[in-house]
Amino acid sequence: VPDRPAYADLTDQELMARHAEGDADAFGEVVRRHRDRLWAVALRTLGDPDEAADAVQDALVSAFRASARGGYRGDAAVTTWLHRIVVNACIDRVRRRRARPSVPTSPEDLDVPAPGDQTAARETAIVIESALATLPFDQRAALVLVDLQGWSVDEAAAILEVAPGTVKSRCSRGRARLLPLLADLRGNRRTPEAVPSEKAEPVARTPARGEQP
Amino acid sequence: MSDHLSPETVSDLAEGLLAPNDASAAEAHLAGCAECSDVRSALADVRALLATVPDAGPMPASVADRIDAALTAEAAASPAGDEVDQGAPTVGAAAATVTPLAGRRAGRTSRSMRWLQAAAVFVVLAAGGAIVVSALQSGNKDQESSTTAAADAGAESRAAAGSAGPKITSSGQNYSADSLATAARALVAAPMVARQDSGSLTAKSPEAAPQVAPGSPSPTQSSPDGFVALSATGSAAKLQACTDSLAGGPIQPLAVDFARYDGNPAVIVVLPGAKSGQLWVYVVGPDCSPADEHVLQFQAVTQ
Repeated sequence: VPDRPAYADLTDQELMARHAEGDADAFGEVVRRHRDRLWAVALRTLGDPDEAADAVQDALVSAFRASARGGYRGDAAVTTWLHRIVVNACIDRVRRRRARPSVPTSPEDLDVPAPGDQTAARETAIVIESALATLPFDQRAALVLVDLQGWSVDEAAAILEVAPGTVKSRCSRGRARLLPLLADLRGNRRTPEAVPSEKAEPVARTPARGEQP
Repeated sequence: MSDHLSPETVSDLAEGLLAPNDASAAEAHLAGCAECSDVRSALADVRALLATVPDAGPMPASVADRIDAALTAEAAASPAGDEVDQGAPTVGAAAATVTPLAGRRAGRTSRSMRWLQAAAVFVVLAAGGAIVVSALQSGNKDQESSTTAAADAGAESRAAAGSAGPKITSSGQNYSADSLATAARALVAAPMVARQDSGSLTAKSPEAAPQVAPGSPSPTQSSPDGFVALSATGSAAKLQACTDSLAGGPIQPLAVDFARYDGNPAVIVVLPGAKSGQLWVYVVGPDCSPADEHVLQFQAVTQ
């Protein structure tokens, strides 16, 4: 077995540099670090697991190619850069399917974790997913990043390559549009028991900073 | 002001987006209007509700495996970067289509080992026929997906017209000088085996049966032993060095088939010919390298 670098000790940037130098395994390590959050963004943005899988795959293959040619320049965090490419891949999919009727998301396709009141959590998630699906893509992507995934406005702005004020505006207008659609859920939220247990774990919602040692 | 605030205005106020004068006016209205105050609290509830959506959870293993395989195929397809990669990839348009893998995650393995893992999947799947994995550099993914209806008689020509990437197969077929031309045409024309129309990418059905390309030669032999012998070319870089050497410069082969020739392990490399509609078909030994390509056979074939 040849000597293998201790990838766990390397930052994302160092791994990307190795990838650009031809290290065949470095990019895979970067992917392993970030794929769960990339998956979450794609799934929540597109609302369909097949589409999300295709989008993430498209994005990572593009990222692989681009960064092999030095396309990752280190001016953004790797995770921000990867999120940007995934969001762009999602936009691309939305544009391509615009002509087609949207496929309603079935309950089985929603990855609602087991703990807690699964039925209530699942129903809540379905309603929210359906409501999100009615928003314009820009508003939906902003809300997924900020309100669902817990990115800061500045971080979301970096991912979406827009000004922070634009992110705020998209979130604001998106929430206003969701208002009538989520009215039925408001009562649920005020009953603590109806709130899925995951909410009690804000840590899990905070994006990790894998690239920072 | 007597008119109620729009939800958008209330929402913008909460985000600090209103100009100072507008913000003051809105606050003044809210102070005396229960209805608009309710809108404000409802918007706060919306925000809180969105935060309650459970995490999407880890990426399903089937998706992670599929992406690992796509990246492995990508590394195999364009190890040299710029030279092989024609044109800047646009996100989304560039798509690697790979059969979903039911096997275990590649984990932290060397490039050649991952190549072998991908190859091992070929061998398993090849029991039913030739399986094609292709890293598309361009082309219409939707169209490619539609051609997964492999029984579609038009699939071959469409795939041949729309695909720019190499098709790497492991048919295990035992070719001879007589069958080579036909086989080369079939390899180039073979439709890609893409994912199933639906469901196969989810965790629930990762083991979807592979589609089989009807125009491909049906394998007479796909023994794992034969493949291990061929793995001498296992690394993508070696394969690329071999095909570059054959072509006299960096080039993307149209198709590569790990197979046999006259009963011996061999790699079929199909390159674009000197003129349009022509294929150059090389049969090389598994130890093909720039120093010694070990060419067993060469034919120029009309496509």
